[in-house]
Amino acid sequence: MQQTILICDDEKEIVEAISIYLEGEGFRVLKAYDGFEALKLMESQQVDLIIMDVMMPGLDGIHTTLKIRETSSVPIIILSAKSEDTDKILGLNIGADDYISKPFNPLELVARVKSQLRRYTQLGNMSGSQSQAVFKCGGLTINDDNKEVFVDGEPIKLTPIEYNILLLLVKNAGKVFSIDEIYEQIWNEEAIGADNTVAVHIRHIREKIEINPREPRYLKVVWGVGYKIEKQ
Amino acid sequence: MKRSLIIIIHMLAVLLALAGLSILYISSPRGYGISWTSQESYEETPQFSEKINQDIGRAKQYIYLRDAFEEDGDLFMDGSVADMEVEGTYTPLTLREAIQTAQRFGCYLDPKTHELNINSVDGENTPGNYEVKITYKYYDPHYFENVPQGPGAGVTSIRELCFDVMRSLSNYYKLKEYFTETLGNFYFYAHYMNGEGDYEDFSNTEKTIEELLTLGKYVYVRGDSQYTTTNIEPVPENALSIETEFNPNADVDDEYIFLAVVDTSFPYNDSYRKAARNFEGDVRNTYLAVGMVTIGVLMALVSLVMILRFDGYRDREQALSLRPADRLPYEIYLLLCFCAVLMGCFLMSETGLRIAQIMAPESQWNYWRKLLYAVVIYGVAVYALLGTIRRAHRESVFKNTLVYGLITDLNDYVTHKNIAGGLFISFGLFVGANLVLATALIWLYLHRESGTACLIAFAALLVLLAGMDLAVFRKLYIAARQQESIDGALSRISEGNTELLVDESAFTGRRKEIAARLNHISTGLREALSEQVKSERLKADLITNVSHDIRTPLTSIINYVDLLKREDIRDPKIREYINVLDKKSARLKNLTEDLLEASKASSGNIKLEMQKIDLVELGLQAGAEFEDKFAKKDLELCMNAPEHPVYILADGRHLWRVLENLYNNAAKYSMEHTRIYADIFEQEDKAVFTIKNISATKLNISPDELTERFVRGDVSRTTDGSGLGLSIAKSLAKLQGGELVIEIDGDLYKANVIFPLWQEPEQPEKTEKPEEQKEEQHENQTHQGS
Repeated sequence: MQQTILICDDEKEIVEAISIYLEGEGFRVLKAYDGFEALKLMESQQVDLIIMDVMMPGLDGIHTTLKIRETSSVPIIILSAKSEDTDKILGLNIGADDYISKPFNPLELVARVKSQLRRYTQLGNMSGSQSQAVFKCGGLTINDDNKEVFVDGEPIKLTPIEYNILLLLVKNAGKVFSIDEIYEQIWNEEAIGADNTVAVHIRHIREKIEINPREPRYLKVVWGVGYKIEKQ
Repeated sequence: MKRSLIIIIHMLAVLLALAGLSILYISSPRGYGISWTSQESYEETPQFSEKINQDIGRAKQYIYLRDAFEEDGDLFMDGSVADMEVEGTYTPLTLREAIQTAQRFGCYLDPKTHELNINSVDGENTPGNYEVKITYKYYDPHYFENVPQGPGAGVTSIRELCFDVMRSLSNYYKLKEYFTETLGNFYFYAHYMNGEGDYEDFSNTEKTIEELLTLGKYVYVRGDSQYTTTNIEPVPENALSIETEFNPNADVDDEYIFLAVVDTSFPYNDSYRKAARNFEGDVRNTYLAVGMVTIGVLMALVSLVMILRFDGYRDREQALSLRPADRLPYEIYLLLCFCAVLMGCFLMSETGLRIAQIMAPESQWNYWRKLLYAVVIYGVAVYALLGTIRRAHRESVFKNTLVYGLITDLNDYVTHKNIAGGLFISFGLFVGANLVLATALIWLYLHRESGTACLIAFAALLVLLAGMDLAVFRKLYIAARQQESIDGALSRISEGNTELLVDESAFTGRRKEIAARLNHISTGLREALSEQVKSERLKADLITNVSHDIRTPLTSIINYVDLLKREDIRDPKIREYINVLDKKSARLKNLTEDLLEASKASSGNIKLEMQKIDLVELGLQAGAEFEDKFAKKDLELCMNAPEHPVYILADGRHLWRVLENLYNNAAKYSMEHTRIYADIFEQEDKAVFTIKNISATKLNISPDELTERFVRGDVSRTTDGSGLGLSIAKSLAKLQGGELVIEIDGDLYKANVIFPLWQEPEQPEKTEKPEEQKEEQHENQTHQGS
């Protein structure tokens, strides 16, 4: 079934560009140029995901998102020219699912859209079939029985050490592990000082499971302390 | 040179004048002006007249002394010399008695010189002395004309009377010798009435009147003539009063004759002849001396004027040259000159005068002393005059005086209320008043017995003194208090607290002005500060807004460039163009992001989450992130870190940004196939992260410049990068309480990130920058609330 994505931005060219990409990926695209238009379209159409600009004339993205959340839990990706942390936090707090700041990489946007859609559709599917050996964290799923890793439903190929590291972090989601701790847990050896093997492995894991490794959603770097999987 | 020459000339001229003066003083007749020099011979001059006059006086004295003491050519020992009353009884005193009495009292005549010698020790108290009243002196007929009349007139002692007789006797002997025993050119003839009332002829020559009158110069006085016959000019005065001198009864006597003659052929060698012989020399000397004085004075005047005109100027054209002495205050200069006069006179009296006393006769000593003193005074006076003139040339005669300085100071105080001057005067007044009052108090205390008024005054003065001192103390105390609060306000301002103003109404006098100015400064500073903060914020806001505004169009550009890239374009030219657009839009994106970050970092507008961080862990993490980038350029990262954690207090994410920028630079600017060294170590109480690499291009800029915004190691700016990386890193490090130090040694580039080591004891929450953080958290919360 063709999924419908509502794009809402006052810059027509941006809406146009995004729609080109998404249509190229086989999505149906609805276009709105301010908050009111978006709300109107929401009433009349079935929408699977919304890409929402923050700064718009009339009703802005924040208020539109709040309005939508009153009735719907459709995934919303906020698009903003602001990159400050506070803006991101604000956007996520009012009910947006993801945040991407301008100027963005179109491919990243598409990847995020797909990721959100998969999570949204799979959340319902997988809710009942959880066994002991399956660890979930947001869109990240690890099946320890057959050593499989999925991100938003997509299988990911990891080396055994990478898998072990990721498993350790996912099992203890929210806990921060230092490089030495990870090394001791995985290699079962005393860590011997400055060695960035672990750090390099983790970077590789990030590159594999994250859409944008510089702004990871799952495997986060706690600079100067260690690494952790965000509890979701 | 010219000046010293003139001075020497002047000195010579003065010497010349002085020499002339000395000649005039010493060797030419004094007291007759210089008109006598026009006379043809000595006999016509006034000094000749004066000399005759003196001899006439002597002759007259000789005549009546002879009359009193002599009889028939011998001393008349039994003749009375005086009539006197002893205790009311008339007693005549004979010459014999007088001589014997005088000898008894220790008085005798020197047989050769006829001088009077007195060997009496007791004076008037000599035993045997008694009081007498003189009624007549035969040897001094005019005695009573010169003694004031009255009850005590003529009262003296017998000793004194005899001495008086002896004195006259001495005179008699001298005159007798003068007139009779030496031959001279002066002759006299007298026909007069003697003490017994008989007419007597007396002369020192055998010549008759007629003979005498032909000899030369004469004065001829006759009792029967109204006129004095003489050929001497001016007429000798002593000749005019002849008649009364001889005899008190002269008015009934018109027979007397007095004739004084000088033989102008000067047959005898006496003082007349000497004077006549010297006359021509005297005239010549006088003319010479007058000429010397005239020329000397003229030359001295001219040279003095020249010195005065040019002194102070080395040359006519050149500027004024002053001596050290000219910088002294004028009064002190004059005082020194005065001292110089005193010292010079002293030295002169010790040396020059002594020499003069050896060389010159005693009669001239006084003259020499005066002359030497005059020379000293004149020299110093000329020196002082020169100094004054130099000052006058500089127009500093009055300005460089103590009086002027005092006046200026007073004026300064009056017009500018000079604090120091004011203090001086008020302190002086205070001390003066205290002294006066204290003196008065002491005086009153010493006179406390003299009455209740004194006690009351004492009490009143005591109260006044105490009151005055208390008032002054209170004033000083208030001043000190006010000074203190001003100090407090000053230190507040210097600490940056410009909110608090001082209350001007609490101050008095000058401190009120100071307080007002202080408030002015404080207000101005506050305004300037807030203005600065405002403009700083405006700048940050502007940059933020601009970069936000750039982002939206930039998004479109990037997107459409990407879309273009996806089109199947065959034309390689267009593909290249699109490639350029792609690269440059990416660059522009980086630039805007860096600009925003730099603006935030330098304005401190960043939320910090300070926590305990292991620098080693961070270094490893960061190194891992850059492994690929380094590998691409075949750079080897060599990491040296201690095995134990190195903890610091920092915001991990922002410290990562610092290291990221440093690694980025290393990756970007390192020469290919080289090693990059990253060292982490502890140094005293600091943790240091160092990254070293070899630059691919020449680093010909200073480390300081490198951390400035938009400066890059490659001046041509060909590589991508905003040039803000180091600036951001530096600002961020500083914000977190650390520092970034760049060192350049040839092509070796070294960046040090230095942070204080984590201090264990306390466990500080993440509240290192409390105000900023709270503020931002607060903002955050309000945002969340909305």
